[in-house]
Amino acid sequence: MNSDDRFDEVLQEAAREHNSAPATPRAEMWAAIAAARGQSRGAAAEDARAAATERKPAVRVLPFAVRHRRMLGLIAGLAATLVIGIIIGRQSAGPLPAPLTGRDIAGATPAAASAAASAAASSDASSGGTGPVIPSPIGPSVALREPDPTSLPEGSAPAVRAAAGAPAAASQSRRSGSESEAMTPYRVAAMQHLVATEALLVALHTDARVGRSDTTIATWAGDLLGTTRLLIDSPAAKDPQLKQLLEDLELVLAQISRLPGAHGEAADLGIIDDAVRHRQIITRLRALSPET
Amino acid sequence: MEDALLARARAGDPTAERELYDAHVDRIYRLAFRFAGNDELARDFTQDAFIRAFSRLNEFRGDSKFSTWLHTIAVSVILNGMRKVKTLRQREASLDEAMTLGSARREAEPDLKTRLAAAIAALPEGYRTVFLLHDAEGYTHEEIGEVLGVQPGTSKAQLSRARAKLRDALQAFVGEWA
Repeated sequence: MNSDDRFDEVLQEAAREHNSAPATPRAEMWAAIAAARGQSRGAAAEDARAAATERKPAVRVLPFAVRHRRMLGLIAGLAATLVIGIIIGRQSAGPLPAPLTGRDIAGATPAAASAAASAAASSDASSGGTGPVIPSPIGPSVALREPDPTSLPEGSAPAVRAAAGAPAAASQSRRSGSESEAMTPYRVAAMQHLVATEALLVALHTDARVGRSDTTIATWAGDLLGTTRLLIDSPAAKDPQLKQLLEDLELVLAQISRLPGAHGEAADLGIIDDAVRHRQIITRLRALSPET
Repeated sequence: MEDALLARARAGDPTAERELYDAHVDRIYRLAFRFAGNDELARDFTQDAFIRAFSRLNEFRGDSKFSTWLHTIAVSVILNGMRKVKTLRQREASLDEAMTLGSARREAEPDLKTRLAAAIAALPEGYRTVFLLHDAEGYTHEEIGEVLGVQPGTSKAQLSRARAKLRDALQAFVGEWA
């Protein structure tokens, strides 16, 4: 073997030792990748929705490298947004619109005034009243009931029935419109949360299958658990389907976050993963999350 | 098998993405670490490579193996990242040099390993890339050609020049391997 060959051999040995990598931090890197992918899918879904409504969406640029601490930051930000949203929502909603009075009802048409009053009186007298109680402007001892169109006397003119029913319907429509607007931030927060939770559950499922352990997931689950509880107490939970899902998630996330050590025993992981599958949580998450 | 996995990943199945990640992450991370020399940068490069690959999965047409396509993305991410890091380090080094001017001291003579590491770091980027891919990571010249978009002959020539430069840089240690 000549000097050059020997040199090449030494060189190759040295090259193999040059910057030799430690064990791959798989779970931590996957957490960051899954979070970035989740965000990307959420942004794509938003863009698709915006395009459908012919609105130009804001361009979203993913950060160069999304690390685990950024994921935690995202969750913390999400939770803070939710809390601020609840506070703003409560303060800006103010009191509910004043209840309608008999005068409001009668004001719709002059002919309806007496009809509404007599309808209310007869309704009180005959059926005990079916409409909501309206505080009387006269005094606390006297109360009128908002007339229910169905309780008006037989043969009442259509105008009377319309006058009785229209304000209530208009009021209900106004309320549902403003409620819908107020719900938007909660819905957005809930959707972002569902995307992040799905990423966690997929990571858990894969780790459970190969019996890998990592402490990151328990911490991650703890952060998501806090947000889940906030969402359960928020108006977003008025949607019964979402509420049910959030309650199931709360249970599962609580179990994951309490795993001892790393992921804990393989048996614990298996039980949690079985529970996730049994309740079809990932399927339900995908059904509700923006990517679908 | 991998085709089915890729189809699922293209459809947005996170489980399929995770399986692809598990299959390739070790080699990508090792490669990133080989170039970066530290864990944090290697993680950044690895994550970025996978995020880019998954978001561009629809562009993969199967003309080459998925692993080759993924490594092409990874090498691109790593080299671009290292260029930025190098610029930053040069600025820092200039600052350090200016601050320690006048207090220069004689460094101990580095051993072969240290000298070799410094010589590898000093190689031109093209030579260093081919040298590390071939001699450290065991890529063939055909694989290097695919990943870097050059002919295998170019890869062989660059490796030969890289070794010649290293030999020159390590003349002082010639007796240790002769």
